[in-house]
Amino acid sequence: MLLKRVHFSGSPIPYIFIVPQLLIIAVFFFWPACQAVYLSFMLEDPWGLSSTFVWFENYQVLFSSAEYLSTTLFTLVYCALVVFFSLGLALLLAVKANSVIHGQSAYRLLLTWVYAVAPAVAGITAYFLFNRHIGVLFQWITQTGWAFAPETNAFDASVMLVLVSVWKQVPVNFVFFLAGLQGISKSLREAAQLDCASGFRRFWTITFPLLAPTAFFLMVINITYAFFDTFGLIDTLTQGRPGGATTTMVYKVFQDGFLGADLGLSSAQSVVLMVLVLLLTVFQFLFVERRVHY
Amino acid sequence: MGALRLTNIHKTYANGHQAVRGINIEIEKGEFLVLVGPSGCGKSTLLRTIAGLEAISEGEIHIAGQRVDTEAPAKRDIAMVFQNYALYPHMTVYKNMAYGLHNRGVDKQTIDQKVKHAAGLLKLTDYLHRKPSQLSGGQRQRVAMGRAIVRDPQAFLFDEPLSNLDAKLRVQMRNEIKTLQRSLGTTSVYVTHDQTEAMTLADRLAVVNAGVIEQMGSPMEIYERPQTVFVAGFIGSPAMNFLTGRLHNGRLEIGELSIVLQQPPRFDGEVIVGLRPEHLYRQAEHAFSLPFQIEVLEPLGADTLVWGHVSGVQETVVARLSRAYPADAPRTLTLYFNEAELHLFDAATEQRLS
Amino acid sequence: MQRASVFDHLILWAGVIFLLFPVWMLFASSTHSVENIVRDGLQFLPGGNGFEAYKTALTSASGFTDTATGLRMMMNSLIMGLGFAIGKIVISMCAAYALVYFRLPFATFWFWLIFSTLLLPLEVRIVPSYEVVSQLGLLNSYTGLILPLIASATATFYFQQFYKTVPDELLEAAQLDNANAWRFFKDILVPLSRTMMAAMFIIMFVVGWNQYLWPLMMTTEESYYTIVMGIKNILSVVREGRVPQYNVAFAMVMLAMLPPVAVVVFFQRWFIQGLVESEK
Repeated sequence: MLLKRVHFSGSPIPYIFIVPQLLIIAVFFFWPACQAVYLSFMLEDPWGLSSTFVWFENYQVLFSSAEYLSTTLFTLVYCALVVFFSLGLALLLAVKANSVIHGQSAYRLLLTWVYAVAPAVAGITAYFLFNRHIGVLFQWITQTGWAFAPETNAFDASVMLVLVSVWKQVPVNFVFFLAGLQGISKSLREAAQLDCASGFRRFWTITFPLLAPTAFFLMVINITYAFFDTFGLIDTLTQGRPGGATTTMVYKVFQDGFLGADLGLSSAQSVVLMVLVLLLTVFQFLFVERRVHY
Repeated sequence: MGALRLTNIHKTYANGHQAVRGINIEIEKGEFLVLVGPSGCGKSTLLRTIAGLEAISEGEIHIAGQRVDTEAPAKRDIAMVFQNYALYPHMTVYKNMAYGLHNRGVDKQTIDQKVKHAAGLLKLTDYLHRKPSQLSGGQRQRVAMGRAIVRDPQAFLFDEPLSNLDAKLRVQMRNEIKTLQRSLGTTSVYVTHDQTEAMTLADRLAVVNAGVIEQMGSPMEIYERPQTVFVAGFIGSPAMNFLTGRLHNGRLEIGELSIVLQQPPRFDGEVIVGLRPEHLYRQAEHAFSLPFQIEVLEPLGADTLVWGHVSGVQETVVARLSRAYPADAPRTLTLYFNEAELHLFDAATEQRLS
Repeated sequence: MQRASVFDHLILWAGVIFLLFPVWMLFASSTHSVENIVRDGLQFLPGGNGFEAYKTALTSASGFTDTATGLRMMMNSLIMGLGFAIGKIVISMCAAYALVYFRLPFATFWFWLIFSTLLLPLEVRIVPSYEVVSQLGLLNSYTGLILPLIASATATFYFQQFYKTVPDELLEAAQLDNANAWRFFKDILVPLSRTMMAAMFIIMFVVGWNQYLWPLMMTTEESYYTIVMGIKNILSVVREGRVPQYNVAFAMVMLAMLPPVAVVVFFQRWFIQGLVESEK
């Protein structure tokens, strides 16, 4: 891997410089990751005193569990909804922000600050807004005649969760879409204006295809977000309630492993997630990096 | 003993590409040597091996009598001016020039004195506390020169230093470099692909092609007696016209033309005939004549380039005719040339026939 | 043209209000008394209590935890945010330097080893990570809080990309200027990376401050609580059926989001750059 034409040689610096990183990832990445794989083949007795090697038993239990199936389904649907709505909303706002002449930087500021709100903080904020006793959103929703009950109704809880997840993710997508739009050269936009009179058509035939790389890339980012970064949000907003209906796969890893103390089962789930991330990365390399480049 | 001696330099890359294939040069103290050639010919690689930025595969490099080819770049006592200047963007002009001295443990007072002296030479005194981004292209170029000058090295190495400048500035900086080098008397090796730059700057010129030196000599020597077709075509603008012909018993045949040479080379067979555009004349006092069909006129002001064909010859021929050639003038004319300005090359070996 | 422009602004304002609304409600309500909130719900307009609730949240343990005050938790969050950001930047810059500017033996292997960490977020290996940290005796320590989070190569990848765009000639010029590997790093590469470091710092600080799951698992001693995880205790009060001091709870939520939001707002330009670069 020749990265530079010229290199320093005979200096101990590279070793000194790379060792901290290697050490940290060895101890805090590879050791736990290997542990996860190892533990997924082990069955611990309920008191954590001894464990036995059980081959794929944990995986068998996992894949035959109706609960895990419903968790997986929920995760996929939740993920799809979050990706779709947060991308769509962000794209709309970015296109509008890119077309206005006045106040562009003010809008950018007002539409990005939510990035800095922790998912857990977003979750607790939403918790209060949807609160049965004091929540203003709860009042508004019930005034429409919808008997909104996120504590007991799985659909209501899911709607709430998706809404908050989208709220939290719009800013990131907005920043990237706006950057993508601003990256389209002025001369190209002018050429398009000469060729095509309808602004709407221009967007779908010129702007949108040029944004495709950004959109695909953001899709991967958003899937990762919906899978992993929403932990704090779920833990503060629904904790998987009602009855595990809003439990995502990552939340279940934590529930089974940390709260339920079933290390084997939890580790098997970790391994399943590792495989999913790996697939996502492969997908990204094959499609995003290769296909959608101009 | 030369200031800089290159003996049988070879450079072969890991992928098998032979960039330099056996180059020998001896440069006198204070001499200005220009390496000129098309891009990818190995001239930059050669310069970089002198600097020590690339290791040679074979051969020896001596600077001021010291063998240096295994030394680190900083130990070779040379300074280099890069094509993109390679100024440290976060340092002021002053610090850019002082950095190399500072790293060599030169004391502050000496550094200050040297930097100020160089800045004076380069008219940079008012800009010492600016950052490179606040300078014009020409000024950045001067800073890069200044960084070399303060070091007071055995040799300056220039790697296409003017190619990032616009045409007008290039001519101006070319003159400045030449004047400066004369007054400092520092041995210099200068790489360029621009033959005008090469001709105007060089004490001695080395035309490089495919990793070897095709010809080395003074600019006029190379212009007047190019040893190969490559050199003949590379030096001179517009490039020399090449016509295929036959030489037989001192008689030269080009298309329908057949002339008897006064001093023919001892050679029979296919030849390449070279004629510089500026050596084609309208005045009949020159010995030989060519019937010429005009196709395109390019008025340049002082003179006019006339493109067209000589009857019976496939190749397009260009002539540089003095002053303006009227656009409505007849489309055919007769051009004249001299035997002394004719270049003959063996068509098989592309070597000069003398 | 005029009408289209008004329409554009309307949509943008709708977006702005959508994002601002929840936070504004909590902020306005935090300046009301508990009785007001219990009686009338969340408030649209600021009330008469001013910043009293904030004082309580910062200085007293306020019923949500036993000993940790808001100030203490914010300090812990600050340490975590700074430690994470600085640690990650320093370690990544060094590692990226070694990878880009040197011919290391087994360079390709090290490269893949480091960048394979991009594949697995901490959440996936969270339980075994907890085990490892507990075996090392690092539970309830700043080291244990920070180091496992640094064990991913996002920033290394980013600095590697950046170093690759630094012109080779700078290194060559520096070599002719007798700069050794350390001097080149210190005198040239680090100063050149300043904007990049700032941009990266903003992002990393926000990420570090906002950590939730890891401190939640890691810390059992309240003196190590961070404010983002500390607010979970508000929920346990509510879930136990007690009426919390709503205004103080809201103040805590505001305090938990204020520093990272302020950083993002004040350093908007670097933030945008950092975000766009770091996710690439």
